[in-house]
Amino acid sequence: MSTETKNKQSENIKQEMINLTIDGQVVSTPKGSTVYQAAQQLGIDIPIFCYQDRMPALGACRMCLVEVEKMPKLAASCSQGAMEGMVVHTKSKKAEDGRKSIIEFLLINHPLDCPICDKGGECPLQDNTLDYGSGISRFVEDKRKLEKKTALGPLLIVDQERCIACARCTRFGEIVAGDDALKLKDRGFRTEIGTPNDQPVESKFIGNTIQMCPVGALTSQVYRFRARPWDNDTVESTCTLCAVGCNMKVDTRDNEILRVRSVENRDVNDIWMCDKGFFGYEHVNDDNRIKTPLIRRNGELVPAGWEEVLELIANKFKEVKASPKVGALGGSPLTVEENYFFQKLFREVVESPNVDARVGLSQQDKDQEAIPAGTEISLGEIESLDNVLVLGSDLTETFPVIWLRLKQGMNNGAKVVVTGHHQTEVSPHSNKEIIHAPGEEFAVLDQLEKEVLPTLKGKSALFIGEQYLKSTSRRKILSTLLKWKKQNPELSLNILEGTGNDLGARFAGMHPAIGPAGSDAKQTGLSSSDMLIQASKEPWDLFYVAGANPAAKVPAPLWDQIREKTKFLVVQDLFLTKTAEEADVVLPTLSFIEKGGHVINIEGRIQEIRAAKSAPEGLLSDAEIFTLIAQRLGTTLILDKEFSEHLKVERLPFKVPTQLEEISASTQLEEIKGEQLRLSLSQKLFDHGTRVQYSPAIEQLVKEPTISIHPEEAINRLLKEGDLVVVESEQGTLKGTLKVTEAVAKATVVIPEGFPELSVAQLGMKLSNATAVIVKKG
Amino acid sequence: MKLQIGKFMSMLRGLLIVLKYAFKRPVTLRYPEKKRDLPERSKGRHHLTKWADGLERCVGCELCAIVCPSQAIYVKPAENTPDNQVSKGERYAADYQVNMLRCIFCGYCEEACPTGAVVLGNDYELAGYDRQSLIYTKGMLTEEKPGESGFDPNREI
Amino acid sequence: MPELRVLLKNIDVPNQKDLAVYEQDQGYATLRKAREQTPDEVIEIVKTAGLRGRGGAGFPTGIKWSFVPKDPNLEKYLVCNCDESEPGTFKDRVIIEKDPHQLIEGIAIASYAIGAKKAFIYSRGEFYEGIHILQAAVDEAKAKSHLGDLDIVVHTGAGAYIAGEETAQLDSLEGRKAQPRSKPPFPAIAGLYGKPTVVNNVETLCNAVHIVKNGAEWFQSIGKERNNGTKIFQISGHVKKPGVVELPLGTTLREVIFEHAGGMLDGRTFKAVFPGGSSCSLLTEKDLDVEMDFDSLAKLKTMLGTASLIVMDDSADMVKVAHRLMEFYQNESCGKCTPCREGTRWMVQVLERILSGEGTQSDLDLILNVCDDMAANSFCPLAVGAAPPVISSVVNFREEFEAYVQKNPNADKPREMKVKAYI
Repeated sequence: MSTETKNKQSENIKQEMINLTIDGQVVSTPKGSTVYQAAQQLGIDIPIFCYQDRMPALGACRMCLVEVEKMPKLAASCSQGAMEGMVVHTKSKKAEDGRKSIIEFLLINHPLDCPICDKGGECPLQDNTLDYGSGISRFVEDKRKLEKKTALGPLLIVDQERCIACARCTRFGEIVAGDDALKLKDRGFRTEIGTPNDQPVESKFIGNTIQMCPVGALTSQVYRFRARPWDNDTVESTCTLCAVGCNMKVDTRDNEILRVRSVENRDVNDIWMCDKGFFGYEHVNDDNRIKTPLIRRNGELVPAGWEEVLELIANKFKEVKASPKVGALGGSPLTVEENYFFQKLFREVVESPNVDARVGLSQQDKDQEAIPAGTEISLGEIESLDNVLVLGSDLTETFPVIWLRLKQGMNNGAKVVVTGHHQTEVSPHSNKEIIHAPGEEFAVLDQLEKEVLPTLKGKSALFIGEQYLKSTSRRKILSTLLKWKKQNPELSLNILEGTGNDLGARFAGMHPAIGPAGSDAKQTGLSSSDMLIQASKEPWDLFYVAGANPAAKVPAPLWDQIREKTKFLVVQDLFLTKTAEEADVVLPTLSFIEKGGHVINIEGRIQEIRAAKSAPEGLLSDAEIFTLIAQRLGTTLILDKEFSEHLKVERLPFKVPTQLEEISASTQLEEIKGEQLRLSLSQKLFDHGTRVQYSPAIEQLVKEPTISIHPEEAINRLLKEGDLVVVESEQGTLKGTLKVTEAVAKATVVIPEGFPELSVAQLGMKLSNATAVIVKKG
Repeated sequence: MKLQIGKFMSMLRGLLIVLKYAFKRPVTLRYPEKKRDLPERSKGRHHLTKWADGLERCVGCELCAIVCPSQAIYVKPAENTPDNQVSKGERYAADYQVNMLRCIFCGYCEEACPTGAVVLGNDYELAGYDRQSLIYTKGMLTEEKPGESGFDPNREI
Repeated sequence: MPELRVLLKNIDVPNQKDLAVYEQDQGYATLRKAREQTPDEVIEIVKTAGLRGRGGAGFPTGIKWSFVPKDPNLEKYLVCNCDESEPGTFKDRVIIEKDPHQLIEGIAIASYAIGAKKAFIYSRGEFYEGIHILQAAVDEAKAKSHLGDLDIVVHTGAGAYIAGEETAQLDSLEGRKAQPRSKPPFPAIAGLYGKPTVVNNVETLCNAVHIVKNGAEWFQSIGKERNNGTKIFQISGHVKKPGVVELPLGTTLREVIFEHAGGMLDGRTFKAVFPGGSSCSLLTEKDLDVEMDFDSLAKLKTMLGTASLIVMDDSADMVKVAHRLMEFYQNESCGKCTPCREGTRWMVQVLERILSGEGTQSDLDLILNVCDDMAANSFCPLAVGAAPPVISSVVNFREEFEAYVQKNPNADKPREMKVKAYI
């Protein structure tokens, strides 16, 4: 019965249509929509400025005025609800005159410096003036004179004269990003764009405001005065700087990337992107990129020809064929195809099962891992959720655009419960928040099971993040969540971990236990940390590292041992990383903007990346390198037809088991003794990873990494903010600056990953959350 | 017969015209010894002019480049800084090239220019031995002193 | 007609602001009386009485109250609009400084009628003394448990004229910049924090006390049909006796000025008057016999507004008046919508130019035209109120504007824009 009534209800909702006439055409539109939306349905163009269809109508700019019969004044179509029997004229004399007067008003204090304005050529104000303006102005007074260039932050420049106070940018911060990054200051004609308390703008999404600005008021320091829109060659591609996989447009001129814009994809990023996506491409243009292959001669890395290095590598491969002491590491920045070739080269040509893309990531074996990363719902569905539980995930730092989609979901009425080891940017928006020390996950889950689980109604989702997943009790936690799912079938499980193309690398088979397309590996190899640990103890024949930096992910003394014992080290990367510096052969390769292929995002969506600029001279893509090496060994690497068929689906299926068997091997949480605190590893969107390091714009957004503890713990240890402290674990020590903040749970120390200057890897291999450490004055 | 006389007469008429012009002044000039006086507004090679205070007029807006029917103009803009103020306003042309081989001297660029920076002068003697030398760079096009190219540096547009 | 003091009855009583004194004249008895009836009955009385909002728009108060959903589980709010910023208006100030308990009683009655458990008094920040008196009165009333479970918060504005607009006031109360919201939804459905809210003026709420006390028929017996009750008139300008006077609606303009305000200053003659604060068209000598009520003034294309008469004699320079008022609106425009933000600024610039002797003939028509555009297309009533004083000044006193324009030798030629080289 219930389904029947539901169907009936949805029919009723569907039936609630109203009819109105716009410019003589009758249109039927759902009840509650606006005149503007109804006109859109008919394809009637109404000019807009302040209206942005992802945010509620504001009705401030008055550009969208239309004449509605029986209404005394012109109505702002963006906020005027459509009503049964309404008769609307968008092209009547009255409506046109109204819009002409608005254009005249807008232009009186807008400088006519279009020739130097970056928006010129793609400016809605220009377009609307041409289409709807009167062509002349009666304004003969002095225009308002304001500062032409005001930096609101390292990347955001505002030209106050050009601002037409449409409030798109400020409302984006309020409604979509929730960070209130920009505010309109003062009133009347003195209205200006500013930041709260005049501090540098604090946002991870400021690029969107630049893209949304309907005039040239907001510009980016990166793109300022570099080109005209008509100069740019545009290629649509996918961002691979995190696992969301936002769709983007890359604008290049003279083979140089000038800017990146987001592309609408309702299923993934909607129309948004984060600043890492907007400005993180700069490393591609950086001069520090490796330009030729390098060979170590007499202890020095010197340039060499491709022929020579490929021959050398091929010969080494022949030597070590079928040796158990050969390993292939890395693959997250590579495409699915490249990862496929990578593992095939090792599994089939070198005959080594040791392939692993998870360098520096959590490397639980299949049993411990239980369920790999992936989402049951598509990212687009987040906006229609009723309840969301975010467990141990710092959304804005790891999956920034998922937060924007979730915020829209909250605007639509979703209730959000957040748990974790420290507060995040999501905290102030959550309906309930539990901050707890690592290791207390089960107590929190119990509490949620009692208090929250029974209240969930409608479409609900669990987002579980790395704070919970990078834990020895991962399997047990997931098993609990599966029990919840059993109780509430409308609850979806979404596991958020990994970056870049991690899912793609796994799908291609860059995993010691998994072959291509999820098949079981014929022979299980060693995980990357096991390989490294083994190599630190006994001689190792060969490591082939592509797009990874293991030297930065293991304690420094351990790496020295590994390097000493490794006979041959090949590194394939864009930059001379710490690992590359110590390699025997270094191969330069291409970035994600210079090559084509497929990548897979966190929801398992297979998306294409396309070359937006030609490859720098003399550089080969990872795929080409692998193919050429294989050729020298008498094999041709081709993409199996069967495997490429797999890439034709839109989304990989994400199968969640109904339950997980208890396994005896699950490790117990180690005891906390005396002064010890529990470690929680955090992630930062703007860190000092290999690629960000060489992106000057992002570099400016990076905050100095700190070791954070709760004030009470600081008092107990006689520590204060800014102190130099030492963190000691059983395996190593780490020095850094202390931050004392109530945002962190008690008995917890939070250290960010991804900073060479505060390399958490020094604390040991196989770190997990809840590892016991001591913090003391350094 | 009549027809033949007619033909002869017409030939004679033709020869008479030739004879008549043999005693008139020739319309051609002995170029390059002699050069024609050009109308003041005839269109020749481009100049990038300056304001009287020495600042470049060009703001690198690229309107000339987009309006050019033969795509002969390349502009690369950049931002003025207090230490390096090249033009008025915030933007200037860091690079400006005109491909004289492509240019059809239509003068659209001059029409489109919002600051009167690019002007077509009277110099029409544009020839070279290789293609490269006919791509006029910013240095070749920009006048050294304001008004040097014969255009009033104080003129408004 | 003699003065009829209802609201202002006790303002001259010493220490009327103290609860003990207020209680002597049936203080809070009306509230108790109201609570003996059902909320709907209270609303019905106010509806029947025909009380119209005293804040300017004149919307029937009882009907406004009846729009609030009856759902008892829904939180509702009452907001008392005491952001009295209209030039020439000073009636609320008298009440909150002299007889604050009258207002508090009115708030309690209205809150009871609509089912609000929390009420806010949004006072303009400049009423420094009044706010302290009000706060003390609220505390006293609370201490003596006159308010029951009603909580009254006195909130201080930060000096924005636009915060007098009801939806902008709600934004300001929520801690945002005061900017009007789009209607619908009306505050009665989704107001403060998205909950049903009634915003009433101080004088309106005080009237409610007397209606409940004396009954709807009593109220109907005062004033005219559809314009019942008394109104506090505030007279300022070139009159002998400026100040407040409470009269029944429908008293003629002539009577208000020449009897109750003592007439024009010696040796001066009447020139013009803004009958309802500055945001309306002015009236001249020929209109002096108009009856001061909502409908009669609407017929003359002006309005009763807050019944704040700004009287001007023959010494008033109408160009300067227009300029000064437009400057006020320019400074007070919130900047949300384009016509108001840019239009008020533009008009100030044009009027400034005319005053400095650089106006042209075409400027006068430009003023009329732009003011029309501005008022017709703006988001909220601010620009709608900014245009009439200037338009009516130009229409009624065009010769004064022309005299200024004639100072410009090039008045016939259209002025050319001074193109400043931006680039």
